[in-house]
Amino acid sequence: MPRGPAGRLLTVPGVRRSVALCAGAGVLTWALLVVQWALVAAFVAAVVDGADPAGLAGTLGGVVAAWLARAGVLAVRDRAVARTSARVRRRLRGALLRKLVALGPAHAGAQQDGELVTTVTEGVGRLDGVVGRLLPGATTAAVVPPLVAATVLVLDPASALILLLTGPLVLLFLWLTGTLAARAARAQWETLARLGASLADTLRVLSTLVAYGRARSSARWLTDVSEAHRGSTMRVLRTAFLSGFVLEFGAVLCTALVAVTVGVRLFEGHLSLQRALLVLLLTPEFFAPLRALGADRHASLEGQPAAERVFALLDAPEPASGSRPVPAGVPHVALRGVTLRHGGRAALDGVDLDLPPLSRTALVGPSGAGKTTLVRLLLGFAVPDEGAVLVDGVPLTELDPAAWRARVAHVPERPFLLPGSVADNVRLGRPGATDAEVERALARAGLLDVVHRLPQGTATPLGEDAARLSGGERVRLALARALVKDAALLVLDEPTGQLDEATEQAVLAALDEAAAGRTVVTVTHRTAPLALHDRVVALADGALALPAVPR
Amino acid sequence: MSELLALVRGPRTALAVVLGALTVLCGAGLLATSGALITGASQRPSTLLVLMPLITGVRFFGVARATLRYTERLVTHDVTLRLVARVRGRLLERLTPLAPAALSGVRGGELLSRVRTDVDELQGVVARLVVPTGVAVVAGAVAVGFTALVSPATALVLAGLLLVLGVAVPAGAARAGRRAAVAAARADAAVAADTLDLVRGLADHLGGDGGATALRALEGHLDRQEEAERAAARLAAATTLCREGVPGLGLVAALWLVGTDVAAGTTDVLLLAACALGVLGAFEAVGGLGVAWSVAGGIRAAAGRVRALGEQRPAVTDPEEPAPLPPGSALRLEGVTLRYPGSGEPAVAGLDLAVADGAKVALTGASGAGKSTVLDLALRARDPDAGRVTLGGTDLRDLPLDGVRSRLAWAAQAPQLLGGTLAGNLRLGRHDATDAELLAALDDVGLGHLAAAPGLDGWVGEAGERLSAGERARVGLARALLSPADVLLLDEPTAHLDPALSARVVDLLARDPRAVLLVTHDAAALDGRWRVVDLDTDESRPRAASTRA
Repeated sequence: MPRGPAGRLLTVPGVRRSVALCAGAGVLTWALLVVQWALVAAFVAAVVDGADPAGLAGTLGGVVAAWLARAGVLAVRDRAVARTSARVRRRLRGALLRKLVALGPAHAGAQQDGELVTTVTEGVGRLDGVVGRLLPGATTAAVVPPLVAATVLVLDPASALILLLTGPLVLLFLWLTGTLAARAARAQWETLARLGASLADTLRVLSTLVAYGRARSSARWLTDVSEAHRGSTMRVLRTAFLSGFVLEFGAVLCTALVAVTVGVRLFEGHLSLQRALLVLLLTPEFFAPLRALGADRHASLEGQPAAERVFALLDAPEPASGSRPVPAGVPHVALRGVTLRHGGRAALDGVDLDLPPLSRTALVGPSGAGKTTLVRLLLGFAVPDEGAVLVDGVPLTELDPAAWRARVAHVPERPFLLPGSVADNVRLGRPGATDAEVERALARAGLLDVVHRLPQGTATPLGEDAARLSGGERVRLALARALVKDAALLVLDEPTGQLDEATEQAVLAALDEAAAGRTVVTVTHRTAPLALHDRVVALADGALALPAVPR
Repeated sequence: MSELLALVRGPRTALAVVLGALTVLCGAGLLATSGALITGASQRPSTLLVLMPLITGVRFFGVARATLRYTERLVTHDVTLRLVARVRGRLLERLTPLAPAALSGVRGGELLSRVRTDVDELQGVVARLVVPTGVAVVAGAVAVGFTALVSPATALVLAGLLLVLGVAVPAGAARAGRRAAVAAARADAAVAADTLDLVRGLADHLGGDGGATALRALEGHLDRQEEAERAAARLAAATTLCREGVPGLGLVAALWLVGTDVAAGTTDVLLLAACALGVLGAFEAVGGLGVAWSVAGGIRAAAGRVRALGEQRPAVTDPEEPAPLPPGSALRLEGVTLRYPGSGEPAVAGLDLAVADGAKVALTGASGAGKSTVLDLALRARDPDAGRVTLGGTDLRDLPLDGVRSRLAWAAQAPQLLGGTLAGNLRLGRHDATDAELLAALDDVGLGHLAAAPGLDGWVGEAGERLSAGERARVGLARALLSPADVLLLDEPTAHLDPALSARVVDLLARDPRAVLLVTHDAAALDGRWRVVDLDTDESRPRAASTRA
């Protein structure tokens, strides 16, 4: 059995059972094949000998029965395999989703959102090629041909010798050209993907190309790329299809060889017609599973990298998490000598910062100064390489992360909104919140009037991308979410970054209301929010540019 | 469908069908000649020479089949790749007049992602639909014809069973599977959408209830997805039963009918096994029809959507007799009103705005006041419902589109970057710009550090994703600055910049000899060199005056 991701799939519950079932179905298939073809051979031999078919109706009835029974076995096998495949993929998807949650935003942030989603959806979907097609096909190919060869050996050792000589030879050639073809096919997938990407890319930027008068030249470019790609792909395919050719050629040639040698020995009187016919009919069955497996090869080519991605994600180490309870009340949060590096560069370099209870701190500084990194540290989504974030003197890494997150509210620059209702979005802060609590939070965020004007009030679905809400309303909804949480620490990231001046004033008023009774940290570029804070901390190049200045 | 046929019609497609049909027929021929050979040998003719034609036939069909199959696969793929190139060309041809108006915003994004899926779907038309159907018809007809020469009754049975297996079974399966397919598609979409929500909002979900609500909802979708797949599995099992069982019925019918003729002495005994095995081999003709049926609907729908693109009326069209480009590039909007399709309020109403040669104008106003709409009108991405937009005194609608756009350089709020090199993206602005000019432009927008990494010839990642959002915006700005156009149309170029850099960029634009029409929400950063037009109050005033007031 193959090692690596495909072998790893065998350890998923249900897969081994499915393989065993396929092996059992293979044995049954073989037995029914022998019965079916023996009866056909007997019928033909009898009629050639001059018997009346009317007297042989029972034989033909037997053929039909064996044939349909075999079809039934295959149908049952296919159904079981498909169900196993569905269950395995469902379990893997569930496990991946739980893993994504366990890994947290630090991991999700490092990868493209789209790529993670593709791994869960299409990536796992591709495993159907391995679990649903490749494994059953390989099992059948391992069980049926040896049994058929053994049968032929009993019937006619000379023909069996042809099978046993050409069979492994075909397999050898298949393996040889297969490895070549696999490499070639992989290269072809890549060029196809790149070609797809070039179209996708051109379409994505078409507006810009048109605005700059370049649409016609890029259409020409795309055609040239397609044409060049066709040439190179055809060269690759000429090799890639060789494995299929070898299989087909071997199988057909072997059938022809058996037919001719059996015919000659029949002519010489060394063999009976019935036995010769049975050998001839069984010969293609020796190759059929191998050919089916060869046809499904691309399924494994597609499935392997998908399986690699899936298992790489499942195996990603989860961040260590503490278990100590979070101190009650509004804690004193402090950064002590915190250094955190991103790809060799220090995003934060030896930062000391105190956030006393109920203090309001504004973080300012140029892009790339480390403001966002500092926010991630406070939320527990990043861990310092050196130094520590202390909560009432306890390192944040030793606290129960879920309990800490329940005490911290975060309002990002572009808040994430669910497509669900307004109330759903507020309750994301605290799922158990009552309707009254949701309304109170909306009121304090200055959004209740807006929500009451919506067609279904708090039950109004926001839809994809919350198109109903303006930029300021989105921020205030996120603020309501933070308020319903009743957090001790409120972290705001450019709460007014995208807003015009009038909206900014409305958001800031709501913010002032929200800040009561909490420690507040706000990252901002703008000057208006500074008035809400009792001190301004400037960051530059990952360090505090000035000592924290009280306003 | 006619459009689709026009795309695939041609000698190469016909060749693929003929090769495919011959492959099937050689397979049936091999089985038939082998059967005849064995039977003939058992008759112990006087000399082996009598059997020579059959022996040669067996060898010929054997070698020919493998070679034909190989050639057919190559031809089919060649046709497919040619088709893909043609579909892409046609698609760009149709989408280009629709850009930028129809391709912007959420609906534009949906359109583009659908177009990509449609192209993928259309790729399969030759290998999965046209060739299997052609092979089924040609090989099926020839096989039935040959069988009829031996036994008309058997030929009738074969034709009937081929229709059952090739038409009735796949059509029935497609019909029975429709509901499961819809349920599966719905569950797939729900899983994908909720997974994306979970990943995007992971911080919020974790902060709320540790993601429990989101996971519970997703588990529900996964259960429905599995249920839909189990329904599909039941159907697949029924299809397997037919696919494996029906050929056996054909074989038995042939044995019975031809056997009776042999016993009656009306048919040569050699033909019994030959005909029965040939009938069995003929069922390979309809082997690809199951797939063909299942993809036909999707391919037809995709082809229809691609065709509909061509029928969509572009928001703007080239005038039939374009006026010559005027010497100056003064831009004027005169009493312009534009209402977006499907929205009640006009985006701009009765707007007057003048941007003289070299003038510096900043547009401010609340979100939704129509700031970006003004840029769209100036670029002639859309035409006004009332009023007119002029360039150098000539109505934009009378000027050639390419000519208008050569006078204007546009940088969107989130500029689109090509997945290529940094230099390639910048040279969209001016294709003959030297490396030194590119570096200077990067320096101007505070991106001097990009010259070291990734470097001008460095890859910026798909859609420029290796750059930060702020860097992408500034590459778009640098691209516009490089352009030889007379007017720069800039949408929020300073939104991602810190105050110092923002001031530097605004100063740079103010000193530029070209006219600048700037959309901004940060009017505080502008000085007396700018005329500020507030779209909320529709009030135009020099910046200095308003600060003094």
